[in-house]
Amino acid sequence: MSEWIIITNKGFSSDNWSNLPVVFPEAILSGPKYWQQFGKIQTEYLGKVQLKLGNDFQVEELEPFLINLRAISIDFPTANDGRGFSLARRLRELGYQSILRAQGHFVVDHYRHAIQCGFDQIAISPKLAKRMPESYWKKQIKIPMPNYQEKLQPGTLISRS
Amino acid sequence: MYAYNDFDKNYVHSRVNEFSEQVQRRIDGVLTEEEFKPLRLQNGLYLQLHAYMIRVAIPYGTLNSQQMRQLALIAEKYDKGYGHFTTRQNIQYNWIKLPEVADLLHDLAKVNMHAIQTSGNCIRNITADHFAGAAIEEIEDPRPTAELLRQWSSGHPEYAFLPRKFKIAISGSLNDRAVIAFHDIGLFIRRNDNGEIGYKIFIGGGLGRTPRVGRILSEFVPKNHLLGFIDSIMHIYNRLGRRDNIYKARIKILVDELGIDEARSQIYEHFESIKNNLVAPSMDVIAAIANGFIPPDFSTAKEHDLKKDFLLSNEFKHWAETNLASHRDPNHVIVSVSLKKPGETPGDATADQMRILADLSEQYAYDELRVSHEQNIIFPHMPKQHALKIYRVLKNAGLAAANIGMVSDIIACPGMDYCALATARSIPIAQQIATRFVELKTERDIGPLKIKISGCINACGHHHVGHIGILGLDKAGVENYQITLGGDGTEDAQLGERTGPGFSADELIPAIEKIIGVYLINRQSRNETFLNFYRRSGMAPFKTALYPNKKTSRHIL
Repeated sequence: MSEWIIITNKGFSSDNWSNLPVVFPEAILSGPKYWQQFGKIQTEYLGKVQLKLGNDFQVEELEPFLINLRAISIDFPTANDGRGFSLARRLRELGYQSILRAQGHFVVDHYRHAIQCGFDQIAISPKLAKRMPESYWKKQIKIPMPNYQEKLQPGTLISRS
Repeated sequence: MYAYNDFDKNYVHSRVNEFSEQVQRRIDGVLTEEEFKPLRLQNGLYLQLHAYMIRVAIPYGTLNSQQMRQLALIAEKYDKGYGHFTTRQNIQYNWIKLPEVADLLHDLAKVNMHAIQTSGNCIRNITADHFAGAAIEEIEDPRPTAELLRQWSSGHPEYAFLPRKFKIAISGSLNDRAVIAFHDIGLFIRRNDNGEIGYKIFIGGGLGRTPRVGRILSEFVPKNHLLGFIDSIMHIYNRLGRRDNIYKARIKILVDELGIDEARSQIYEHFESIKNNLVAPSMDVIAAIANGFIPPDFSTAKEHDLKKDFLLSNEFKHWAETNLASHRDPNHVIVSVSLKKPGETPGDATADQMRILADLSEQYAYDELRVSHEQNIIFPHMPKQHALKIYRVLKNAGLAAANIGMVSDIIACPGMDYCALATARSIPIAQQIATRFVELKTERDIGPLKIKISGCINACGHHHVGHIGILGLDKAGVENYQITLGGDGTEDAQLGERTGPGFSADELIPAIEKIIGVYLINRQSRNETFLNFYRRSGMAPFKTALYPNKKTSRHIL
């Protein structure tokens, strides 16, 4: 069983990032010297890792690398800390186009917020998934909620589902 | 008045259904109590001292007779027959049973009302000048902007879990009746040198345990930039605001720690980066909002000289002196109905009183009512010809207290009688002060004087901006009241200064009498108000009167 249960608009699935090595932003920001250790060119490397971000990271620093990154996750340490939503939206504004994952203590009631801020998927622990089974997520995914922000400023929020 | 369209109605109903689902998820054990709490709070539901309390939003303080009647119905059906109007243009019901909450929300939704975002760490009910659309010196009615911000902030996915609550207020006048400088974001509608309308923006104001006067973020933000600019403020706050300490989590502390210049530079840096892709609301959206605030046709009111009515009723004249304000149309007045009858709970209204207010607004005043942050009810547009008539009806309903802006028009938080956080009583203190000065018959002689009382350090009673502010604390199990003087919540924003050591509940009323005595004896004339006298005299004469045996009472000036 994988470490994370992945939730998308189709429901639960297993983690297809488990083969991607985890890197932290410091590694990417430390520059070309670091890449040479791996003997790989940077762009290729960036496309083959999952980048883990804490929710207090200054994502603006990553701007030059975003075009080559393919997998980014943002940590949600508690269910009432909304910083990750801001980081997701900011990453999308800065041009990140690939998969964005919200990972950690994430509850079904916040699914809408995540999608509207630019996340593609949620990763929760098997323990949390047991308490909060797939049927609840599927129900929540289906419920439409009128979106004032889209009405007022079309395209300002980045909903990718 | 802004009428909900299908989109708005659908939103409110969807939120009610969502909340019912959330309650179910809590019951099913899918959500823990800790996970459920922020969701419950974002729907206005508090667990209070004796029962649940629900806080219903009255956006920018505006409501019609149908809505007021529904508030009356809810007071009878779910509470004990009354409701409590708050300092943020909400109404609270203090005796709610949890199983009935969903039904209550459905009843509210029937008249396009709700309790969404009246609590929790999100953008709260947007408040506005209660004289909006009626005040003479107004540059522009602030309510279309407030409605725009209401829509924008409703269910905003990025800002649902902020470090702490977030309060926005807006005024379109030169005079500030909406305590603008004491909000997380305060907006003044202003005209620039080219005659264009935009916003002067304050951030980081607030009361509570760390009171701050708001700091100027921008002298002028053009209208089409407003949502983007507010977005930038919120984005920076959401990312950088402190989450390690609940008492340091408001944006005022972030502004303190960064300094206003650095805060401004970060907000502008973000704004510049999104500015080129900024989408302003469409003309249709703006027009639909503006249509909701077209003033009534004032030309139907007849010319009428109130002086003739004064000859008919001296009592009416007495009331009119304090409770009527000038209207932009010469044939109308703005009527403030005091919910501060001395001896009663400030801000409370019974279901019957609410219905009478609804009837009067429907029959005589274009079907419009306002709730003020000073916990009174306003008829913003009253034809002068009806003023005496409505006064008589109000009097029979116990709603004719002639005290707006006077000693007995006290703002008080619910205090220890209702609130789980309170450390002292505040309502009984308000009642005692009001009753005392009515007995003494000195209220009119004292003139304009704002007393504000909070029952704990969280300052819901706005004591920091009271001309006389009272803060009730708990000192080793005994109530102790600190007094501040010289606070001012208007455009001359000022925090009150502490007189010195606090007073017991028994000593408090005599202390207030002494303070007012100092003013009455020493003022230059009746034209010098309490606040102006304080500004001239400073604290010294008050200290001497309050603490006669203390060396510290020597003049500091």
